[in-house]
This record gives sequence, structure tokens and C-alpha cells, in this order.
Amino acid sequence: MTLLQLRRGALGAGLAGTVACAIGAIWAPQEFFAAWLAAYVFWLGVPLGALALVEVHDLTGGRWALTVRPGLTASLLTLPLFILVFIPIFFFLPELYSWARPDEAAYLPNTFYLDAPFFIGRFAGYFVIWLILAAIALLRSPLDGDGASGGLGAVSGIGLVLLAFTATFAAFDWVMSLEPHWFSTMFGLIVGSGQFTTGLCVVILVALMAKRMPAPGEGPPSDRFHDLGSILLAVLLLWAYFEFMQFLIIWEEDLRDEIGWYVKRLYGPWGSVMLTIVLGHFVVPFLALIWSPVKRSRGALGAVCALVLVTGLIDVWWMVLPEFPGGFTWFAPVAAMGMGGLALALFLWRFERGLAKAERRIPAPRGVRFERGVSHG
Amino acid sequence: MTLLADIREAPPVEPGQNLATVSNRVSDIALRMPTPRWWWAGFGASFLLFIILCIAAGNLFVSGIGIWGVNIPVAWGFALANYVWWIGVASGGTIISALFFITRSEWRTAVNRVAETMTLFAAAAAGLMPIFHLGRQGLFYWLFPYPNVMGIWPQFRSPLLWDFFALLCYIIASILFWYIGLLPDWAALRDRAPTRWQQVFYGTLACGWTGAARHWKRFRVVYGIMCAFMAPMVMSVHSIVGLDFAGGLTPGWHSTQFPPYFVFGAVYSGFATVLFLVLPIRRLYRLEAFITEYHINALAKMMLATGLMLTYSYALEAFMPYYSGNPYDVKQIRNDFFDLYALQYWGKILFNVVIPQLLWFPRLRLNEPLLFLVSVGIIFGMWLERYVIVVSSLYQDFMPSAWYFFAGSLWDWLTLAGSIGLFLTGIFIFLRLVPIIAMFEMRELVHREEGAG
Repeated sequence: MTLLQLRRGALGAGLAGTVACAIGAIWAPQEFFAAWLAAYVFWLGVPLGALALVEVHDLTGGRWALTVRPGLTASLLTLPLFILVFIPIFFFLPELYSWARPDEAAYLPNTFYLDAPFFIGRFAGYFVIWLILAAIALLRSPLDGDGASGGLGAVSGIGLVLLAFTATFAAFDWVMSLEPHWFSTMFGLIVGSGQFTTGLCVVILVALMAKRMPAPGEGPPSDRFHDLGSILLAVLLLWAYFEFMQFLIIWEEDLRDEIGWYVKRLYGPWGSVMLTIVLGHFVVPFLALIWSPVKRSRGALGAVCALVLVTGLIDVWWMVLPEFPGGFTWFAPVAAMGMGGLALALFLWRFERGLAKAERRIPAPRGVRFERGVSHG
Repeated sequence: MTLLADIREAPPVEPGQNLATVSNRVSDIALRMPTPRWWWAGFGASFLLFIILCIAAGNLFVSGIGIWGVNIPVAWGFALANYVWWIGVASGGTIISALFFITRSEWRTAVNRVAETMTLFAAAAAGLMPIFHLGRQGLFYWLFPYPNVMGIWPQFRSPLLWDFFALLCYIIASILFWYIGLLPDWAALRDRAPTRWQQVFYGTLACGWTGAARHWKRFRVVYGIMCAFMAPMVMSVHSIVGLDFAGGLTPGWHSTQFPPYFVFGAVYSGFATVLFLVLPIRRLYRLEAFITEYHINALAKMMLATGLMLTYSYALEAFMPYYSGNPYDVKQIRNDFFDLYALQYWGKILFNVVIPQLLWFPRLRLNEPLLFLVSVGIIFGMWLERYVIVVSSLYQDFMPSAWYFFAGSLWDWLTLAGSIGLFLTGIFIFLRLVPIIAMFEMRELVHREEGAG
């Protein structure tokens, strides 16, 4: 399959999924919005994860960035799409959030924070910050040449601080506040590390699939995939650590205000879903990635990334959907396909241009800076 | 890993060093250099503090915990604050040594020996505190689950029990890690020793290391495994310390972010303590050629980064009570802000959050006296943090009838000062007898640099 076919397929799936969801939403608005929100939280990991990767690379360096550079650029450019697809939610907040329903909000202690205008204002704030950070990363970050860090230094440092806080509060706003009585200080780290995993897996997968990948610099490309595999392993370990610590603390305390969140998610069908997540998003990838040959083999690394992506989506469903009486409906996969298709089509469109430009410049010995060109194009 | 965008020109080793100068410079400090006057002064002062610890502990064993300021509901006073503080410093040392070995960070090479040694003595100081705190110290082995005629077992679901296991394993593993990492250097000292007693002393410690290829091969494997084992272990040890608190119902303790929050704080105090030790050592022993601005810059940057992570946790700690609306949690954070321990709370914010922001500026980062002061401030600020977490969360419990104002007694302060004496005494002995830079790793680095140049 060529990239062009993939892009057409993604666009088709995206449009079909979105239209199907829109029609279905007329009859079951709440089920639709629940599924749409879950898809949103999952796919937003692509631009946010890329942003975090660019900034971490800026501060620490490493040759791995060469391998995923076109993917990172294309990921960052999908960010505006995620403003558009959230807009319908603004008009139907009471469908999703009980704090937006006046009769239920009357009993809440935290309406100073969970309040529709403030919620929308915060959304705008997050995106202003993310767009500025993405623009800086695209225009200024020379992820080029020998793969050394780009010299953004302080900018990336401040960027990561801002990203950590905005991603945390976005997770509180969009997911944690679905159950407005429930709270966990760890929640931002869990959702954030999950989104980072998604973004990382997408850029690794795309780099693995693109056979024409430009590889400036020396060394066999398999070494760079090896580093990427190690980074993925580290991120998965962190994610599992955050997730397990939150569970352990809430489980051992067993307090009325807190345990309810897990009761919904540990018993009945969602319990087996959780086991799937534990196995597919941690145990199997962990055992695979500690074995060096897996990190050097394109096929095996790709399979691990695909598994982590699929279970990452299931993980978001497991966080979002049990809050709704409808639970898991046909909307969930269709919304994920619709939004993911649109994002992927946009991603691939940018990605191909990045590849084409990079290929033209391959003879140039050092200082390949195609990000600027892409962002103008 | 290129950590340093703006100072990439500064080399990890000053030019003009070769394999011989590395070993000569470092081993001479332990073998031939006459003991400097500053060493006697520092060691004397530290040893005095150590004697104070012995006196304080002796009085504690004879008189009981009544000599401390603790009482219900503030049952965890200085001892626990000191414990968490010391174990944090220890964990930070291991992270620097083990985690950054795995990431192949070049700046680790010159400072890992100091970091590991710091871990050793900080863990010793930490390990004493819970034992002191037991009240009936002689029965400390009751913590261990052993079959007994009373049929009594510890509560296996309690993080306090896991903490006992974790700390025990951690201290043993730290000693092994330190010692194994020293084997080639013990042998180097043995071979260079000018006097008989030094030959016997270092020869015994070297365990027959000859530098054979087979020895090196096994050594590499063992050291790599130790690093891969120590890095997650130290995370879990300090997370369990966080769980000791998060597993309690107490407002201000029960928060899901506590495990990573404590790990951030641990690494932060670890970097501060390494800088606190390395900055004077490199000047006093004239090791500027090996511990260069490159290392200082890298350590300062890492310290700033971990400080920012800790700031994230402080921010959530202040936000979440208001979000949850739980009246006890709200009261707890308001107490922190405005009540009896507000001075300590704002002190920790000042020393851990505000002042370290100076490190954003490369010029200030490389100003050694300033960096030293910032590091001392962070070490102090981290103690304040532990103190606030322990005391301020306890002194106004759910029951107003049980409210109580805690202040450390003279013996509390003497124990704290004495534990610093224990730590520094150990460090001074190390400074005199042990190669303070890992010579063989340094030689490897010099060799690589020569090859690159």
C-alpha cells in the first residue's frame, strides 16, 4: 500500500465514521458524545505527544529524532484539527458532564471550577499555549544535521513546564470531571503519559512503514529504532507506575468518595477490559521490548507499537465510557475511526510533503531544515 | 546524550589528561598526599556531631521517646521527617549513579563515586531513624515476619511493612553496588600503594582483582545488571516511603500523587547534595581537570528540572483540596498557608521553588559560590518539606479535642544534628581513603575523548 492509498483510505474512513456518528447522534446524543470525547482524548495524544518529544529532544539530544522527524512535524500540524472537532461538545455540555446540569450541580462543592464559561475559557487557554509551543517548535527547532539538540534550551524547558500543567488540567477538565465528586492528584500524569505513548507509537509506526525514509547521518537505521524502542519501554514503565500507584492508594484506603470510580471499572465486563489493558499496554510490550532483537526488527517493533496503540484506545474507553449508562456502544469504534481517519489524512498529507522535501535535500551534507518549508507549504 | 546545548564546547575532561594522569592524580589523594589541615578540621567537627548522635541515642534508649517533642496526635515527629529526608538524599545518589549509567550520560562518570558514597551514608542515617522511633528499639526484629510462639504476624497489607523490606534490601544493595563499582579501583590502589599497611588494606578489599580480561568481562555484566536493578529499585523504595503517607487517612497525606511526588523530591535533594559535596571537593583536591564546568552545568540543569517536577506536585497539592471540596483537606492546606507552620511551608516554597529559578541563567549556574548556596538552600528546603508534611498534617486532626502544637525538643534537634554528623563523618573518611573519582571509568572516558580528538 502506498502512502497515497493510505491517505485516501484514511480520509474515506474519517468522513464515513464522522457522518455515521453525526447521523446516529440524532437518536442517541449522549452515547455519541461519550464516544466522541474518548476518541478525542486518545487522538489528541498525537500532536501533544509529538510536542513533548520535540521539546524533550531539544533538551537532551539523541540521534533517534532523525528517524521520526517527518512524523513529528506532521503530528504537530494536526493540532488545529483538534480545536474543530471539540466544538460540538461545547453546545452539548450537559449531555456529557453532570456539573453542567443545573439541578445536579447544585450539590457540588467545586462549581467554582466546573462551570461552563470557565471550562470553555480554559479550553481556549490550553490551545493558545499548545499552538504557540507547536509554532515555536516548527519554526525554530532545527531537529537537523547530526541530531544534536536544537539549542532552544530555555524555550523548551518553559514549554515542557507549560505542557505538563495544561495537559494535567485538560485531563481534569475533560475526563476526571465526568465524575465531579471524584478526584486524584495522579490523574494528569496518567492521562498525560498515556497520550505521550500514543504520540510516540504513531511516529514510530509511520517511520517504520515509510520505506523511503530519508536517513541522513551515519549508522544503520535499526540502531535508531533500537533507541526509540527503549524510549517506548521507559514511557510504558512510567505509565504503568502512575496507573498502579493511583490504584493501590485508592484500593487500600477504600474511601467512599474515591473507590466508586474503580468499582465501576473493576467489576462486570469492564473488569476484563482492564485485564486486557494491563496485558496489552504493559505486560506484553514490556516483555517484548526488554529483548533487544525486538527493538531492532521493524516488524516486531511495529507489532508492539500497534498493540500499544489499540490497547491505549481501549484504555481511554475504560476511563471515559463507564461513566455513562450506555457504556460501550457502536459509537466508540466508529468515532475513533472517524476522528482518527481525519487526523491521519491530515497527518499523511503533511508527512508526504516532508518526505519529498527531505529526499530532495538528502545530498546536502548537514543542516537539513525542512520543517520551515513544510510549515509554510 | 547531549544534555548541554549552550556549553557543548566545555569538555567532560580538561585537555592534557591521559590515562596515567587520571590514575596518578586520583590515587595519590588516597595514597601519598599528606592529610590536609581542612580535612582534620572538617572531620573533627563532623565527629563531634557524631558523638552527639551517640549521646542522643543513648539517652533515648535509656529514657524513652518521652524526651522528644512527639505526642498524640503528632506521633511522627522529627524521626520520620529525618528518615524521609535522608532516604531521599540516598535515593538521589542511586538515581544519578544507576539511571544515568543506563542512559549513557557522560557527565555521570566523574561524580558517580561521590553520589554512591553519599547514598551509603545517607541510607545509614535514614535507617537509624525508624529504629529510634520504635520506642522499644530492642524489639525491632518484631518488624520481620518470622514464625513465633505467639502466632503474631505483621500486617502484610501495610506499606510500613513493605518499607521495612524495601529499606533493608536497599541498604544491602547500595553497599554491594558501591563495593562492586570500586573493585578495579581498590586493585589500582593496591598496586600503587607505597607502604605495607596500604598494600594489605587495599589488597584485602580488592579481593584478588588482577585486571584479567575475564575479570573485566564479568565485571561489566555484573555492573550493568546492578544498574538495571538499582534504578527501578530506588524508584520503588521511595515510592513506598510515599505510600507510608498516602496510605493514611490523614488529610494532607492521602493523595494519589505521593509516590512520584516523593521520588521527585528525593532526586532533587540528591542532586543538591551531590553539588554540595562536589563543589568544594573539586577545589580542595584540585580536581578541576576531571570534574569540569561541564559536570557542574549538567548537575545544575538536572537539579532545576527535578525542582520543576516537584513544583508541579506542590501546585497540585494546593489545588486539589479546593477542587475536591473536602472540608478537612481544605482546612489542611489553609493551615499550611496561614497557620502555625506557615513559616516552614513558605520556607520550603522559597528554597525549593523560588530561589532555584536562578538556575535558568547559564551565568548564574556556573557561579560556584551561588550554586553552592542554592544547593544548601534546597537541602534545607527539602527538610522543611518533610517536616511540614509530617507535622502540619497531624497537629490538627479530625477531632478538635485532640489538637496539639508540636515543636521539636532539644533532643530532637540533637538527633538531627547528630545524623548530619554521622553522614559527614562517613564522607570525610571516604575522602581520605577511597578514590573519589571512579578511575577506571575516567580512564575509559579519557580514552574515548582522545580517540575523538
